Amino acid sequence: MIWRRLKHLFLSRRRAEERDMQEELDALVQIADERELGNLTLAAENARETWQWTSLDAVVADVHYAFRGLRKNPGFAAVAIATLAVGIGANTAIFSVVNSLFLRPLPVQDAYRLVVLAPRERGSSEFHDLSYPDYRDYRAHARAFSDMLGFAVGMDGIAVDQGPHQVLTSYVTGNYFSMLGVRPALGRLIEPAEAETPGAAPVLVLGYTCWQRQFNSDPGVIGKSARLNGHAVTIVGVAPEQFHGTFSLAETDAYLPAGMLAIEDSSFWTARGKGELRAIARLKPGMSLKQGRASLQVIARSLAEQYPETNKYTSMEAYPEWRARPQPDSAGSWPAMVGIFLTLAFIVLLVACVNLASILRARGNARESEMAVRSALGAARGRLVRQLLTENVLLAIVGGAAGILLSTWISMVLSSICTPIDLPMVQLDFRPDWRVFAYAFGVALLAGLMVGLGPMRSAWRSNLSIVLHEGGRALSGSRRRNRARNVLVVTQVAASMVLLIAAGLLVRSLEEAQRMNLGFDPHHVLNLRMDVHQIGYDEARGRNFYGELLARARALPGVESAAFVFSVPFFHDRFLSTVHIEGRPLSQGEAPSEVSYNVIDPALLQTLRIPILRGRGFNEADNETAPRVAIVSQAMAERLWPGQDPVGKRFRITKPANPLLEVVGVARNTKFVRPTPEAEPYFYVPLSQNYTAPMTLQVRSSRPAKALEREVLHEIRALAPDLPLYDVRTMEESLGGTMGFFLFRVGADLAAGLGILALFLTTVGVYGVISYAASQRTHEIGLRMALGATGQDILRMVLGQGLRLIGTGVLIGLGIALAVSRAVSSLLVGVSASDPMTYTSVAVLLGGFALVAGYMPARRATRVDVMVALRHE
Amino acid sequence: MELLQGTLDMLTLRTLLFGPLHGYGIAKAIRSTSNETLEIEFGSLYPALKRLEAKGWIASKWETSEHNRRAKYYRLTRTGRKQLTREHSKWAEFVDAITRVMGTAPGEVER
Repeated sequence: MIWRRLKHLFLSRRRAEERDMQEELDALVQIADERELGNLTLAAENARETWQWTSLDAVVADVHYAFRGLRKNPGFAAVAIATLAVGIGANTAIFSVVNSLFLRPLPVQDAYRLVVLAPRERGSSEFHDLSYPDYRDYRAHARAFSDMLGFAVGMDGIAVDQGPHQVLTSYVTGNYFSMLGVRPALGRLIEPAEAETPGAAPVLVLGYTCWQRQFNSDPGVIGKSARLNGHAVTIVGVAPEQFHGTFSLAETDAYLPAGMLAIEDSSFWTARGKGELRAIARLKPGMSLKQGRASLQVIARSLAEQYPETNKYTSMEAYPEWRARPQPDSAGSWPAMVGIFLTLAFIVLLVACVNLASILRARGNARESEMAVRSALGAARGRLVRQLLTENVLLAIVGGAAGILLSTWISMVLSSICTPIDLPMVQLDFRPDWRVFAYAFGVALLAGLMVGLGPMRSAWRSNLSIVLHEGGRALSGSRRRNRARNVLVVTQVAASMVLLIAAGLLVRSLEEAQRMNLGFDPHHVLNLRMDVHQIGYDEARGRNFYGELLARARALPGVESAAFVFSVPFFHDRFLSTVHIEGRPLSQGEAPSEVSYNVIDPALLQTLRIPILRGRGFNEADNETAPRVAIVSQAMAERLWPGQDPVGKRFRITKPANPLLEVVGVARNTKFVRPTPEAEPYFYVPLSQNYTAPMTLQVRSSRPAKALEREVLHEIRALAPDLPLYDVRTMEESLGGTMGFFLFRVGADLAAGLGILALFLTTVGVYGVISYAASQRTHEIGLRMALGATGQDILRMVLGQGLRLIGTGVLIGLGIALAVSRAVSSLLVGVSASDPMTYTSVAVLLGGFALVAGYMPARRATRVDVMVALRHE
Repeated sequence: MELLQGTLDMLTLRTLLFGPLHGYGIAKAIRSTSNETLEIEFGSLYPALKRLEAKGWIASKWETSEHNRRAKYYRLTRTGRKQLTREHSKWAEFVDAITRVMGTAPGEVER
């Protein structure tokens, strides 16, 4: 019985049945009079229904029929599929970026139960890391978690056989690999006793890609000794290929025991309140994130009581691992940003679907007769609607497949622009996985439904008498049809308007950011970053080296000035600290101010041309033994000492117990941290009093950067042949980096790309609709011209109709954009979300394109030959 | 006279009880057995045949007719025979019930 039903599913079988039925009916006609048998076509149609009674069977039949329909109209199919592919492709490409950045889970055991700990000081805008003893306490006492790992990301120099090169390292706790359930690809991983025992023999586990690239996948590397920042380590294993570490932005090249962080500073094991480790914990089965958070907060409170000196103001948050990428700070901001871009892409899809719907409507008029005839022959309405639905869904699926192909290409292009220059090893893997396919499929289905809604509705309401009487031709277009067409045009123009305004705002914001007065002179400056720690230099050797190199760089021909700085403007790394002012204790519950600062060479302000407005700059006298000094920005002076002269005032950073810094000068405001219109408080401390190993040499010279670079490199090689250099580029290039204009540019480019797509689709759509409308009115136009209307009148009539629609669309679009543009304001710099200039120019741009698109067919309508038009059927 | 809804299947099964017939033959047989009272539309009979065949109550086979013409002949299957028995008793119950309710013709009651 079941088989009898199922066998109809097989099309060959179905064809045999069909042939058999025809034969049977033909045979009966031989026996009986055809008139006596009645309507055989209807009998056959009804008989087909009986073997199409399983819905799956009907679907197969519908799909078959739909395929035949598309094959018969290759032109229509090509346009429809291409339109959908563009819409679905754009959506899928953006989604695959989101997927690779945020949604793809870590390739480890039960990744969805991993939670990132996010401690924060009261008053601070940013989360920090945990000190090792704090981490130990959280790990031991957090009851909601089965285990908790800690890791610290570093940039270090590693040398095997030859000079060192820079790698991204992760210093991991002993339970790191076991908690994640990671097994070695080769050798072994880091074991608990090695990672957290002072004085344990240092070992190193290579990341898979690093092992492939730097060591040519040589298994002989196991057991070799290497030098990490000058310290001997033994390579013991290679991490598996899929595992890239727990730092989401880049693949870890080498894993080291956390204990190695204590080699140069043994206070690692005991000092609280120092940010060293990022902690990730695994929730116990059945425990919710909320319970996890609560259990952490209990510990935070007890630590604050036990160690008020360091932990008094620390509060604890926790986020699912996938939300805390790359930092827990992003947990709040990325959903909004992702939402905005997915919405913009969705508008493109909407506009594409409207185009397709217009084409389908034009085609639908021809099909309306087919539908009417079929329903006259007794086909059920539901059956016809299902047929149309199948056709559209099929179209959408084929379009979706083409869209996925297109999106892989788009994401390839995107990943090439998206590779930020600051971190060369950043890997963005946009390869589609099941999430991307599921999303594309969902989008495709939605597109199919949107496109098919109109024709399906009219099939459902198909009115036989109207269709048959009109003979598929509307004399001056029935009111209902016109309304549907008008809605399509207005929707399309309004949607494009919203998208173009968003794109326009982002582009303007990029321009504003780039045009912004940064407070320093970025031209003719060459940057070279180096870290003498990576070749094992201690502080004394480091100071010596930096001093010597500065002297040599300044002696180079054409060099105006040269200086060292810890973070160049818009650098991804910076110092941020709470500030305590001398003689002004915090009142109960008051949070200390938080200020970014920089470690500089006395000549830096001169090199970047940042003027001192009051007091003095640093000089040679501000050395290790002299009183500690600082130069503050105007904004900091105004914030901390409003209405007073800040010169001579003193403050401490981080802890009330730290040494006092005396303000010796006030510098002009700069945009050192990020390109925002408001000046952020900022201060500088001299390198001589605050030694840090990683530094950037900035050289100002009007000579070409390339030649200068060669000479500076030559001097560095002469002093320290093994020292790895990175981020060697001009200041202007460096401003385009990840923390600078890069994100603005990516956002603006992406939105502008989508906007251009929407503009193109809308222009094509308006052109199509107006030409179709004009062609439908050919007869009427002929009649009017025969009655004396001039070409001008006709032009005014056809174009006027289009203009009203476009105008309505533009106005509605403006209204919607005004209402929702606040959503993008978080991405904007120096331009308001309701910037009148952007709104006007977008309205003019879109209106202009639509006008041209409408003018061409209108113009053609006026050239109609009256006699031909009157005879037009 | 038009058929009561749902009776066509039963009539077809019953007609095939006497032996295999082709589609047109079934229509003819029902018409003549009912003394030309029941009009059988071939347009509805044919889908019914396909439906009964799909349910497995009748089976079909190409054969040669008495006038040496090829046609598809339908015959009752074993399950079809059981179905007919069921339908028959249901029909008898139905007729019985309707007769009880309807009684004699209205004119006779008044007299």
